[in-house]
Amino acid sequence: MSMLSRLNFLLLLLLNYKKRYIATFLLSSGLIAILASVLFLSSSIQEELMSTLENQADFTVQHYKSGHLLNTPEKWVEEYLDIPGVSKVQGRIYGTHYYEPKEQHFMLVGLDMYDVQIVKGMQKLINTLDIEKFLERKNMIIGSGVKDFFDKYHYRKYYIFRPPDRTKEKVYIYKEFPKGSDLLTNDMIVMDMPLARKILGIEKGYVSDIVIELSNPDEYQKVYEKLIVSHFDTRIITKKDIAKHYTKLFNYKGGVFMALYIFAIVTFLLLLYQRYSMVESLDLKEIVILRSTGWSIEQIISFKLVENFIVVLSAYLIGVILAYIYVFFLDAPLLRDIFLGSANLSIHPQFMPYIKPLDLLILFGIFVLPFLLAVVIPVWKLCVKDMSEMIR
Amino acid sequence: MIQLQNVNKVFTDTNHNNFQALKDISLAISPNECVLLHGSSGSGKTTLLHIIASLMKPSSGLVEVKGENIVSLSDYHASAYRRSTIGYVTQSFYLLDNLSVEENLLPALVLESLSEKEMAQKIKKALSLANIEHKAKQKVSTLSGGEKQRCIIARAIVNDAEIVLCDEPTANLDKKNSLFFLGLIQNLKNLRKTILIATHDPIFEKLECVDKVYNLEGGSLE
Amino acid sequence: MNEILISPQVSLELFLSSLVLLFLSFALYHTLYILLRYDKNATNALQYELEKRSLLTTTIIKVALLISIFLFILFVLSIDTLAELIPGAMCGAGVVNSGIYGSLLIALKFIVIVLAIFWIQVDEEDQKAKGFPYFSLKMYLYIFLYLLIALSWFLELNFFMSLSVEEPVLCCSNLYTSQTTSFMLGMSIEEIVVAFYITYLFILLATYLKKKVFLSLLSILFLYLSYITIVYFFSTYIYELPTHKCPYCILAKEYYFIGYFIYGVLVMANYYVLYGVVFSFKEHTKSKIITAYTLFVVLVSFKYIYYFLSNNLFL
Repeated sequence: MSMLSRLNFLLLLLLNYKKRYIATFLLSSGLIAILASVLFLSSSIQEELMSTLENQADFTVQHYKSGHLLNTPEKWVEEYLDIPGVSKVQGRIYGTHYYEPKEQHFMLVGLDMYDVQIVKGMQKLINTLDIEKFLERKNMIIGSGVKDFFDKYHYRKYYIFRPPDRTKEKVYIYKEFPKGSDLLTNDMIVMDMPLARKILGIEKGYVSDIVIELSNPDEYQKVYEKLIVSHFDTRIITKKDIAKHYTKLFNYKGGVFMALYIFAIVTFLLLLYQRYSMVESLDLKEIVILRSTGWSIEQIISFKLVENFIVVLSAYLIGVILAYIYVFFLDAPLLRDIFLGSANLSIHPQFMPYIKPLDLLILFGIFVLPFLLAVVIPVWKLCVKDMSEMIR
Repeated sequence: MIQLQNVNKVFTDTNHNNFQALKDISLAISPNECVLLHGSSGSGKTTLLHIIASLMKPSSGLVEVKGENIVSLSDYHASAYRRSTIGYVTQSFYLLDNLSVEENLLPALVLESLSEKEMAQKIKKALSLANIEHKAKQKVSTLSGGEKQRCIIARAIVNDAEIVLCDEPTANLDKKNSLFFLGLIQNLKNLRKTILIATHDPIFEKLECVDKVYNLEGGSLE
Repeated sequence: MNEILISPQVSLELFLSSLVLLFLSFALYHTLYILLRYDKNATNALQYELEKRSLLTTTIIKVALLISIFLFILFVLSIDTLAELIPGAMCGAGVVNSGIYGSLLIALKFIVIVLAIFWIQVDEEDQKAKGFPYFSLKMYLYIFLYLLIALSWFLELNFFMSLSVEEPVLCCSNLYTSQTTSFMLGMSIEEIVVAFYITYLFILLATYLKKKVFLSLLSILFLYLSYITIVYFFSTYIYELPTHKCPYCILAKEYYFIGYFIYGVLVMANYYVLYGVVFSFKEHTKSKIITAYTLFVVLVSFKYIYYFLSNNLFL
């Protein structure tokens, strides 16, 4: 009861003396909003990459010789099929198409439309197609970044590729990739396999690389070893490699921002410390009132700490809400360029609302708790002042 | 009721200079007495009140209130003692200007386990005693000096304190309001409170209910 | 730089615990200052000054406790996400066991939380009682607590530095293969479980008879037995997997966060024992101890009994 009425009184004070906290509140919620945006954005991107990872093949075998990536012999497909535990092997055709005048490149992917795709994302795409109609003439499906690019240079219906054999290939735009898969498909062009092979200039009997699927994930290690010994001029990429790469990448980016956070927070705490070191007359007055009406020093210290806690907690909540709006409704203008800076085509991702509880916890820990610690000593100093000193 | 024996208080500043604020003070106040503590500013009146309210510890000496030595109390117990026994009338500056009159009584009440209703009753009673009931909902910043002083008195007595300590209560009041304040003191006396007033205002000579007058000069009683 | 150290959770963990340690060191300075000057017969003015100083320690400990509990949760969550980075580790247990200090660290963090709650209680009792009867207990306990926290900080730093993203760990392997290992005095796990229940009954008895020394010894034994039985026995029933022996996964969402309740109740039980042993052993303390221990035993045994009743067999 007394706890509740004390809290009531505290809220009364906070609401009637807003001016005293407005600077702290605005600064903190602004800082929280920035930090939260960074965390939300990186988690959302990571989550999207990880979810596309689910659709990847268990192993990808590339032909590597003297440090150069070569096309992979198609006959290996049969060899790999003989390894026990392997359920499906597929050669893939893909490569980059370089658009010289603007120094842009696209990812060109050729698919065998009648085969079942190991890469499940592609399978989903094919499932949405009327294959007969798609194959009627030379058609392609393009990512949204490619679409923007084509629109800009007036390739509204078709685009003319120039394969290495000096011919021309006029390919019609069949449709755009469905929304929501922006991050990976942004600069992608999908077409029928023989056409892609021609444009990329990959000879018969060769593929870009080979993807392998397992029937039982537990066989992973054994199959991996077999793959290693079957050919020595290969590089084998596992699904786990990719996952680890993504995690590391985002931890690294997170780490950079961590340094930023700490910098920002230290600055902020210094500001705060200063506010309390320069004792305000209102604080002193308040303490004299509380002391003379029978509050113990400990009660006043707790009161003051809770006061700070409420201010910073509400700043935290407001900051998180602002960040949520910024990232998931406004799609994080400016900030996304930092994260997706490597994309060579303009990208308009729509970030999936995805928040890790751990992120919220980290944010709480990085801001609210150090704040509370920082005010402990100044608040204590203020509260244990002698009455005679305070009145003068 | 209140008994002081050889109370000394020495302040030491940051340069290790000693300043003796109280010298060998001994006095006794009986229940329901109204005592005037006269002295110019800097004579140690406030220090003495602080020591009686246990807001400060004397450097040496004994302070007994209601038979208990309050000098050795820890802050926890000293605060409890202050809450239950002492009503401290500060200068009118010590009010929360942005809150209303009744809200200003809350600090004295929120530490007790009271229901909303009990709280409202206590506030009502104290405000009517201090004759400020009609301004209960008004913000303190809009009050006149006299009204502010009455608000302070209401806060001091809201917890039914037996001892009321007044520190320069008329310092910021004009003559009319000061006289009104004297009337309030008379009321408190009729309520059987023990009252100690520290002041240098000659107007208190007009106060009829005064039982004793002490003169404090340079830290010692004359 | 080590990838583990720059991952957000870990750097936050280290940042916060360093910050806490810094503040606690400041409080330690004040504590020593007070201890050196404290004198029961000193003037009241000096006592009052010292009392004000000790309030700083009180306040810092309170905030530090809040942060420690937060860090404990963060630690558990972050070792789980670190499992993605460390080859071979499938869950938190794999990570903890991949560093030499893991289990010791968890135990230490647990003890620190119990002691911090206890310290706050001692402090409150000390202020409520007249004449500061627990003053020196409070001060020495603080120094002890400080040393424990400093140790756990040191271990934590070492723990995270010793984690490697390169070397695969044998996840939970020592947990998995312990089927035949004996624990204490060559007892098998089944015998340990029996000992666990017997100790519980003795605790009830000791509480009922208010045998303080007996109770404190039993509660230490019980704490140890709880750890073993949770890891090697009860958790397997919660996971419904005889090979999954892990003290952390019970904290996960998949198991409805039951671990927080289990460990929380255990913290409370130990705290009440400490309280009862040091302060008054009143009726309500007695019933609190009994309730907390019983609740703990019910929580850990629930799945086990449920499993037995529904399947009529043991894992």
